[in-house]
Amino acid sequence: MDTSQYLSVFMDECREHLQTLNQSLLELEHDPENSSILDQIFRAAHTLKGASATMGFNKMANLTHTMEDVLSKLRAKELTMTPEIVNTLFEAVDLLEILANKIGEGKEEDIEITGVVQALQLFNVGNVAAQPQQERRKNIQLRYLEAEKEEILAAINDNVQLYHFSVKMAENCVLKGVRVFMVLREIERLGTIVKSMPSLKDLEDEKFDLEFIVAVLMSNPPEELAKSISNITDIAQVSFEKIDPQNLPMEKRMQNQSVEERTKVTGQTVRVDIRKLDVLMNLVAELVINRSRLEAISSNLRSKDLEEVLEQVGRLTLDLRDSVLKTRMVPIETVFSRFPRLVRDLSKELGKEIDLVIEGGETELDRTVIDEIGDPLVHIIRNSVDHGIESPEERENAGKPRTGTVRLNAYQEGNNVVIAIEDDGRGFNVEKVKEKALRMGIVTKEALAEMREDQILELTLMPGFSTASKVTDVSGRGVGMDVVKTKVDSLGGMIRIHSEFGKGSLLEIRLPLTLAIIQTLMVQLGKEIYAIPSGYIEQIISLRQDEIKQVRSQQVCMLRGELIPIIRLQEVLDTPDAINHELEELDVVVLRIGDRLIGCVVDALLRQQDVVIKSLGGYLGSVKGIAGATILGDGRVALIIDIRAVA
Amino acid sequence: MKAKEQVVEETKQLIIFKLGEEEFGVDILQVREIEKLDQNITRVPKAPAFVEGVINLRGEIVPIVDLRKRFGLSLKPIGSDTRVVIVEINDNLVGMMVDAVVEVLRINVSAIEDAPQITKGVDAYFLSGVAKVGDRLIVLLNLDRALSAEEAKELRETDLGE
Repeated sequence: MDTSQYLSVFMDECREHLQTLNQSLLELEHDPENSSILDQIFRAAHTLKGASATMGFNKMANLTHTMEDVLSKLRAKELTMTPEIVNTLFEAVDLLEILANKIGEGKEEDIEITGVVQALQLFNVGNVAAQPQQERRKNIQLRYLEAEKEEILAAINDNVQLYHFSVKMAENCVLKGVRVFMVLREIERLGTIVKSMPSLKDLEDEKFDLEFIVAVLMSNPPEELAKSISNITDIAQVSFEKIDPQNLPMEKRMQNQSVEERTKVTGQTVRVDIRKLDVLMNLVAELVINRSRLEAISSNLRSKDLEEVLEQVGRLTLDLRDSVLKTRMVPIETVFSRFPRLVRDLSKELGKEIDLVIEGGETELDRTVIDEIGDPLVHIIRNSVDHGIESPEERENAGKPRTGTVRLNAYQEGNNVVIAIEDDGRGFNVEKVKEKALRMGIVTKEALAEMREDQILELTLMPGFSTASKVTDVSGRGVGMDVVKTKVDSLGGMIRIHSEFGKGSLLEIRLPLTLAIIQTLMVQLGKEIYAIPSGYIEQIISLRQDEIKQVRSQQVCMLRGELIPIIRLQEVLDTPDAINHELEELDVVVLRIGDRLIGCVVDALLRQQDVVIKSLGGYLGSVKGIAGATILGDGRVALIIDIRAVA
Repeated sequence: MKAKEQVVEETKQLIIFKLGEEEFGVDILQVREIEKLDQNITRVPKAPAFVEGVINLRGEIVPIVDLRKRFGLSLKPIGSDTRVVIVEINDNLVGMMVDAVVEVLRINVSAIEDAPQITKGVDAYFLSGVAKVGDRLIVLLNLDRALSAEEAKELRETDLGE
């Protein structure tokens, strides 16, 4: 079968299951007794096995198969969870991730899996006969469901009573199935079997160890039955107890429910190619435009009925637009979920004790932003763990709890999403940052003297700040932080740093909710209309022509006592027939680019508008100075200015 | 179709359009649609000179190439016959601005010949051949080259290198 067309679906699924595996393993590490987590892990491994085998990825199938073996033993309580097993399972998941990546590149064969497979198999064989078996035997318990309880209550009267017969086979028993059959036949001769643990089917299939319990309703004296059972060959021990029907041990229903709920949630999502959503978005935008055309016609016709309907249509189209936008939103949890593992591994590696607290995982961001923000966050968290949080001893000496805390929080604030990464580590040493910034030639002494503390801290985000070999010089931060900043900038976001030396630091990333829609200021330039992203606009001022001075080749003006450069936008965009040279009063849009202010002279300010960003398409590729295009209410195309090109 | 005993000849359907008096053809399979130019073209700064700008094609932004500019022909203002032939190359939509669209024509593949070095003032580099249909001479475009945003010269050099 040619499976190549299913590869991308497989890869998507694969990634999802790997995420589940990672996440659930972490949960299991903290809560080894929780069988519903184990079930989840098992299901994920099982599905992966099936999928990879179907696709013909034998190594992955092989590895997941071995995992499944271990997991099913854990589920059947034939194995007890140990840190070694968890670690090996983690290793296996890591290997699966590598395999998945290689499969994406079409090179599954390159990866060696035997080491981990063998390690897993060791658990499979080694542990079974060992000591945990003893404990396990005690664990056999017969529990009832609500419906069974009712049946039992109905059947019980003065004569008929409920007994639990617990039967133990001899260690050297050869034909367990046969013996069980004889026991059951004996029981049925004298009473009615209600239930057994393990189930009757498992008993007949010899799927039990040595001991089993049978619940029996009977009127005959139980001693008689116990005696006749113990007469059967290879039966080592028989005991019974009378069960009070009002006090039946019940199945814990909570657990079952939670499993059901989980399956339900996963069943309610649909995987959609993001391009299809883009198409949908386009169609909706078209609809909005055509509605405004309709409105123009209706205002000519002056028909009350038409107006009413149009108003409805207008509201519906806006709702539709919002809904489509929402479908592109993904909870940031999908990114956050990989950090517990990251922090666990890092802190083990570094010998630190760290709690990672994650909040606001349900906060939603546009899919495109989600895809991009993962790596920068990894970087920041790695920094926090590596350089922010001190070693347990150091923390104790400083009078802090041994365990450090890294807090990851996401929340929505207006049209932005804020992601805050906070740690209670050693924080930034501002003096050292200053010193280093000077040494690296990033700032001048004079500039530094005038900077606020947060501005100084932001110097650590500058390229070149962290290239020195000994990063720990500056309380550690700054490893490739410029890369983080570049990425966040490209997403239209901002980074702020707060820190108190010795107490910890807080890094805030502010991102636009969506890259698909941005707030812009529409400006006129000659006959052309351009959109300037509002996020960059510091303020809008009005200047008289004579307030603009020429300093060498640069036009400048005074703003709040500071000299800022002035550019004529038409010169950047080669716009013909711009008229601002002839105007008396000039509209100037002051942009903030990094920490610089630049005044852009335009012909006229039109309006604020939320616009849907569209790409200029692959044919034109990236055009310098243009970030994209958008369609105006009248169907015309307006270009969105790329602020970085203006700077 | 002619007589049955004859070997069925391979044919091609072409969209025929005009630049000045000359007739050009593109394979209909490459053409997505033909649009009237009833909207303003938005100029894109810093784009290649022959890119007239972009238009809104039902929600999609489509760049428009002025073929006259591309071929170095004399320029002509947009008129009521002006059409945009939207073609798809490398998964991207591009609109070719032409003076007029004439018809859809089926031609025999055997009627296609190599284009002379210069055909009707257009460099043969942009062409995939010429087809004689009766007394008409249809110039067939090599869309990949005619619309390539790269400089034609560069492409020619790499072509020779192969």
